[in-house]
Parts: sequence; structure tokens; C-alpha cells
Amino acid sequence: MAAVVRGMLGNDAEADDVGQETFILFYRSLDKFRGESAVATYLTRIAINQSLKALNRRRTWLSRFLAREHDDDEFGVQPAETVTGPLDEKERAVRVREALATLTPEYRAVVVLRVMEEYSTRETADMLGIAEGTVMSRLSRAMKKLEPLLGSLR
Amino acid sequence: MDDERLLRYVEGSLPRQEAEALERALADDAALAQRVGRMRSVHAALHDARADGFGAFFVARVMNRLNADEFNAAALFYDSLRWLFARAVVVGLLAIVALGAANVAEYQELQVAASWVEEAFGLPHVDMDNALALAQP
Repeated sequence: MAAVVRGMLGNDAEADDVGQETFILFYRSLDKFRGESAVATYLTRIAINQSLKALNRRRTWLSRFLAREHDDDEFGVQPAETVTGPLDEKERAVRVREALATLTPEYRAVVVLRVMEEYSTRETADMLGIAEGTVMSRLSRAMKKLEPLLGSLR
Repeated sequence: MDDERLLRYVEGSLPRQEAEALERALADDAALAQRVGRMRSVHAALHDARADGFGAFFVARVMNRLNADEFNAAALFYDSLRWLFARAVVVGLLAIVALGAANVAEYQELQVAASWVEEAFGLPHVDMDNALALAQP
């Protein structure tokens, strides 16, 4: 669950806050849990929904103050090719988070669930309420967008 | 070559026969091999960056919030007010409808209203003649 929230939101206080909200919601909705899926899947579903809501709030807030002319480089991420020398684990994690931040929340959710959390395409589709084909098309586009940023990380 | 298949190959979840066929294709197709290589790098970078947990005392923070939420007197008071207000609104609306219905019944019996608006709101009937009569000293 931490991987999902921090993959979606980064490694800051907001992610911690959403993590707490996720567990509180999970606790309060236990009586609605019918055991149709694993508890971990149920928790992940809550986590991804809370993360998407937080990202939408963040986007609304940012749009009030910032004019976004260049969506592609809004976070100033350099392609990995420009990095000189090998990166240590922390630097790699930072670059991955920055690269993920260039994706829209919908694409980021697919990457986090399908690649980082290793859910199947079907499970990812169920959690996000989209078709399996949509999962794969989003994943394909997201991976293409991430390739210049992460494709040469060593 | 579709991305799902390549991704499953990179993840190591492609069935053995399909993986062997793909490896034969990779040996003959440099562009495909390069594509798989880059996908492998992106996959590994994402996978290695997977966070293990939240910071220290995360469980304590969750429990504090849960306890605070459950015993938050201000929130309970606010919820009670909302509960009361919602019911007061419903009762008020029902009273208005009942009063209107009573007015309509009474005016229809007396046959003094000229329109349903006068009936429902219990208004006195006013037309030009009696308005002029009222205006004269």
C-alpha cells in the first residue's frame, strides 16, 4: 500500500497523509468488505482512489496559481542520458519519482499498479474501473514516455 | 510484437515456449532487442524504486487520527446540528405544504379566491374595483 501511495504522490507529507486516510477508510469500511477480493487488493483499491483524489486536488490547486504551458517538462526532468556517472539508489529513486510525476494521474496509476505492484492487467483494470485494453494502451504510452527518462538508468 | 507480451517477457511471466520464440525473434531483430532492453531498464528502475513503507511511527499516527476522529466533540456537535437541521428543513417544508392545502380547501369552500395562488397563499382577493374603493378616502 505504501508503494502505491508513494508511487502516485511521491515521498512527502501528502503521501503520508493519504496513507493514513487509506487505513482509516479501510477500518471504517470493513463492514462493507464482502471478501470478494483479497484484503490487500481491497486496501490497494482504496489507496489508489485516495491518491487519485489527492492528485486531482493538487492539480486544481496548482492550476489556480500556475500557467502550465509545457506539460512535458513541468517538473524539469532531464533525460537519463544527460546524467554523468552511475546513480546511487537514492538518486535513482528520485529520478523515478520525477519521471512518474511527468505522467498524468491516470497513466501513473496504471504504471504503479501494473509494473511496480505487479498486479495483473485484469486486476489493474478492475481496480481502476477501466477495460483491460485501456490498461495496456495506457501502459504502452506511459512506458514510451518514461523510456527517454529512465531507459538508460544504470 | 505487442507490449503486453514484451512486458510479460521482461517480468519473466511469459510461458516458456512463448519466451523461447520471442528470444529467437530477438536474436534476428536488433530493433526489437533494443526495444526490449529499454523496456527492461524502465521496468527495473520502476521496480527498484518501489517504496517499502511509510516513515517511522506511521501506525501511531494512524491510531492517533482514528482516536481523535472518534472522540472529537466538535465533530460530534457539528454532526448533531446537521442531523437536527436536516429534519427541521423537512418538517418546515411539510408544514408549508399542509398550510397551503388547508388554505386551498378553505377558499374553495368559501369560493372567494380568483386564482390558485390566492388559494394556496391565503391572500385576500384584490381586483381593480375593490382596489380603487380601498384607495378612496
